[in-house]
Amino acid sequence: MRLLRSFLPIAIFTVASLMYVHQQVELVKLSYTIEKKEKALNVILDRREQLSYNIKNLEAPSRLESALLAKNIDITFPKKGNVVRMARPYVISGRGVSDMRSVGLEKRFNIFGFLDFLTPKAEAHQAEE
Amino acid sequence: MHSGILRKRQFAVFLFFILSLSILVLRLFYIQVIKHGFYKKIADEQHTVSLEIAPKRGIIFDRNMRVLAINLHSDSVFANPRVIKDKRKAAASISRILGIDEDFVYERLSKNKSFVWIKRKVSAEASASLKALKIEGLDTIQESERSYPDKALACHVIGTVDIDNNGLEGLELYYNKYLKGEPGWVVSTQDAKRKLLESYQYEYIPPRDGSDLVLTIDEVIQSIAERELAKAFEKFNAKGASIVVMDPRTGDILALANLPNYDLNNAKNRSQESIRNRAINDFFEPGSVFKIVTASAALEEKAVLLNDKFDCENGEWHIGRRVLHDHTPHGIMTFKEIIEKSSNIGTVKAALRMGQEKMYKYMKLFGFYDKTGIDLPGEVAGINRPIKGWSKVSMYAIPMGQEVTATALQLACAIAVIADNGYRVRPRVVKQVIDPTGKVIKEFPVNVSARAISTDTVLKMRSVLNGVVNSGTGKKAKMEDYEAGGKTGTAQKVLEGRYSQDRFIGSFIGFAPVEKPVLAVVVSVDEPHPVYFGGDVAAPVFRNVVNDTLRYLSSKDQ
Repeated sequence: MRLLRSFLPIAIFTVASLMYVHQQVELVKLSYTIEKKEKALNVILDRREQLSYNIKNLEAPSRLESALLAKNIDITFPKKGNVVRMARPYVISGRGVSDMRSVGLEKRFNIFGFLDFLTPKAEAHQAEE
Repeated sequence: MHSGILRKRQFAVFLFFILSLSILVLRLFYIQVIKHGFYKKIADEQHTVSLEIAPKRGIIFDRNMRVLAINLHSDSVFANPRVIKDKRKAAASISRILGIDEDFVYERLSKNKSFVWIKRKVSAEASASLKALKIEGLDTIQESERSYPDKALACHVIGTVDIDNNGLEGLELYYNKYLKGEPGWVVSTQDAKRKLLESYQYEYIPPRDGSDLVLTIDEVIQSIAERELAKAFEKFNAKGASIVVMDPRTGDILALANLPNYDLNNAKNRSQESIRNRAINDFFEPGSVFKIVTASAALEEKAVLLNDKFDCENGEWHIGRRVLHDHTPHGIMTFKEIIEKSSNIGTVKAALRMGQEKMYKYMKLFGFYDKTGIDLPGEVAGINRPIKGWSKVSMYAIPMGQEVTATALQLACAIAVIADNGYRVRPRVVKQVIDPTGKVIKEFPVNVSARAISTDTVLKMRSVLNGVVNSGTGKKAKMEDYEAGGKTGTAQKVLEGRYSQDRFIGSFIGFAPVEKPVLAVVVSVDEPHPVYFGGDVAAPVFRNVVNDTLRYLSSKDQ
C-alpha cells in the first residue's frame, strides 16, 4: 500500500508526460499533413493558372491572326450592315428562327398561377460526387 | 572479516554511483537552470524561423478585363555550399542544365555560406532536371514571375519588372505602389530539414496582395494598331514608328504602340532601340500636321474665312533672304484648299494676318508648351521657345510646323481638340485601380481643360480636314464606310543643326467619323524610305486602323 502510494504520483506524472509527448507528436504529424495538402493544392492552383495563361496566350488577337493567315484564312471585322441586331429574344426551332411569342414561349398572365407549385416540373438534380 | 570488506566495497560502489549521479544532476542543473537562457537562445535560433511572405503583384487588365499581365510561379535554384561534397561535378551538371557558365556556378558553390542563389526563375523543365540530379545541398523555392500572355503587345505601355517584381518601366513602374502590395510575415518552428511546422506558428501576418489595374487600352484595338504599324515599318524600311489611338471624348488611350518593340517575357534580350516609348519620349518637328493649329487659330480669330483666297506664288515665295517652297506649285487658292493641299506659302500668309501673339496663344491652348500629363513615366514635352525667343523669321516657320517640336502624344491631344468639340482633354491609360476583393479603390476621372476653340471653328476645321482626306494630300486615308478628317505631314529631320535632305518623318493625324468623332489617331514613321511622304506612309496606317477599329467598335456595341 505504501509502495503504491509512493509510485502513484510517478505513474500519473509519467502518463501525463506521455500524453503530452503524444500530443506534440500528433501536432508535428498534423503539420506535415497540412504541408503535404497545401503543396498539392498549390500544384493544382499553379496548374490552373498556367492553363488559363496558355488559353489567354492562344486567344491573343495577334496569335489568332497569324495562325489564321498561315492557313490562308483572311478574316476582317464585319462592315456596318453585316451585323444585324435582333430586337427581341428569338428561338431557333426546326422551322427556323422565330419570335418567342409566335411559338408560345412568352410568359402570360395566368389567373390560377398561384397553384403552379402543384404541377410536376422537370428539375435538375445535383450530381453526386 | 569478509562481510566487513564486502560492505566497504558495496559502500564504495554506492558512493561512486551517488557521486556520478550527483555530478550528472549538477551538470543538468547547470545546463537546465543556470545556462537556461543561453541554450534556449541557441535552440530558438535553430527551430524558430521568421519568414517574409511575398504578396501577389496586381494583375493588369485591358478595358474589357482581358488579362495583359499576370503572375505565374516559377522555381528559383539555390544551394547550400557547405553541404555539397563534389562541387566541381555539381557545377558541371548544374551549368549544363541551366545553360550558365560552369566557372560561375563553381565560384558560387565554393563560397563559405549556407545559402547562395544559383539562378532565379528557371523553366519548369530545368527545375525538374535539377531535382532529378538529387544533389544534396541543391534545392529550389517557388517565386512569383511576371508573365505577359500577349508577349510584345503594348510593351511600352505595360513596362517590365525586375527579378524581385519591382516595376522598372511603363505602368509597372508608374503604378508600382498599387501593384506591389505589402509582404506578410510568419514566425514559426521548423524541423531539422527546415520544414515549417504549421501547428507551431507563433505569429502570422498575412501579405496584402497588390491591387489590379484596369487600363483604357483595348487589346483588340492595340493589336490592330500594332499590326498595321508593323506593315508600314517593314514596307518603308523605317527606323522607328509610333501610333496613338485615343478616344477624344474621354482622353482614353485605346492603343499606343512603338516600333521596334520587344517581347515582355524576354525583356532581358531586348535592344536599346526597342526600349524607348517613342510616342511620349521623343519629340520632333511635326511639319505640316501642325497646320491644324495654325488653321484653327486663324479661323477662331476670324483672321481668315474658309473662302478667302491667297496667292501661293507658284510654289516659291521670297521673303528677304529666305525662300519658302511648296512641294507642288499652286496659284491662287482658298484657305480651305491651302490646308487640303498643304501649301506652306498659303498657311504662312494666313498666319501673318493673325500675328505671332495669337499664334503663340493657340500653341499654348493646343498644349504644345506642356506635358500632356499622361500616367506613364518619362513623358517629355516638345521644346518650344516662348514668344520672347521667337526670331523675325519664326512666323515664316512655326505656322507650317518648323521651329516647333512635339511628341506624338501631344499631337494626338491637339487633334483631339478638333475631334472633341474644342476642348483639350488629358490622356489617361489607367481607368481604375481595384483591390484583390474586386472593390474599386481609385478611379481616374476624365480631365478636360478649358475650351481651346469654339464649336463653329471645330465644325469648320472638321470640314477642312475631311477635305484633306477626300481630295487633298491625305487621300490614302479615305475609307469606304466612314468619313474621316486628318492632316498629313512630312518633316525634314534636323541633323547637326541643319535640315536633312534625305531623312524625314512622315506622319498623319486624324479623327473619325467626321460627324461624331470617337477616334483620334496619330501615326508617325521615322526615316521611311524610299517613300517618305506622310500621305503615303502614315495615311494608309491611319485608314486601316480606323476602319478596323470602327468596325470592331460598332459590332461590339450591337
